[in-house]
Amino acid sequence: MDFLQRQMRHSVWANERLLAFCRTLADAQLELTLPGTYGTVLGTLTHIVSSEEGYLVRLLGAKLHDIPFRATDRATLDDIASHIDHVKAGVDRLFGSGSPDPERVISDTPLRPPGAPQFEMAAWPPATQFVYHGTDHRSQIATILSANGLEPPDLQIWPYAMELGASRQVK
Amino acid sequence: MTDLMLLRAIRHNSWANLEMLAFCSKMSASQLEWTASGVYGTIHATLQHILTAEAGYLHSLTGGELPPGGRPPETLMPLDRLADLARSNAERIEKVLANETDPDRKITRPSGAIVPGTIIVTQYIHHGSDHRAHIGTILGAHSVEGPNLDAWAFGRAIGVSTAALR
Repeated sequence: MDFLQRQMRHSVWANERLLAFCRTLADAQLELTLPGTYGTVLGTLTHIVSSEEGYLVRLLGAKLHDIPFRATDRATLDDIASHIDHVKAGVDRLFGSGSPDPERVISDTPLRPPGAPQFEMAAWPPATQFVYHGTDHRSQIATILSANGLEPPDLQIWPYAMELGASRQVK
Repeated sequence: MTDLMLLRAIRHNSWANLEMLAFCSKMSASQLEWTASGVYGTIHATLQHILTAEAGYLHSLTGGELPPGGRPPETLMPLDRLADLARSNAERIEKVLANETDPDRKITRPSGAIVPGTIIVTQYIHHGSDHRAHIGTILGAHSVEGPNLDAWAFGRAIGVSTAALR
């Protein structure tokens, strides 16, 4: 498997695992936050997934669905789950015809609002940002949860690899 | 394993470590001891954890090689030594990637777990981002704006990522 594909699939898995954990929280706990983080648990999860859709739209050159999912949307966990499904499908499309060329120049994104600046870039920055951004903000959610006495799920690569059967303990 | 996309991700990680170290080198000793609820520890301890963990992943990937100067101490190292370790990790991980002929080669970790090399490299990148986010949170909690370490900033730093067309 392509390295980037593995990273992106890990990110989708981590979002799903975090979302499953969030389903066990009360509404008030989803609104927890801390100074120095992006925002509330729910708002941060919305931001992660909406951004991932944005990076994929730029990489694919096509929208994942008609109405864009924005970080400012007041999303429920069910809404976020449906958008994680869009991200998962987008990742599969991205690798559907082989590995993306990191140096391919992308001249615009279909999600650019009218009048907003147009940026030209190689494919690797949005791809690298996809992986970095999710880890960064999931870390903030874990910090918020820990600071409030809640044990966050382990979202490292090790449990992901164990689930896939790519890592095993030797007796 | 020399995949250009992977190389970019690794270089972003190496750059982010050095940017964070450069930022922290301007802080006082007492500021480096700042922490916050729910994070790994102090800023200084987190920086050391990121870099010694990378050295540990390299130890696994290379079959037991240590960084120049040997195994990093458990006591806190000064930031200039951490910067040396960051630079050495950056060079060594690129060498590992350049010389790897079988990315899915099975490696036994100190925990006893057997994992493909690519999984260790994926964790290498994930781990740094995760803990640099802790430092960003600590800085933010103390009303200090930390450095921008995202991939856009990296692209701008190396002059290749984005250009506004209009």
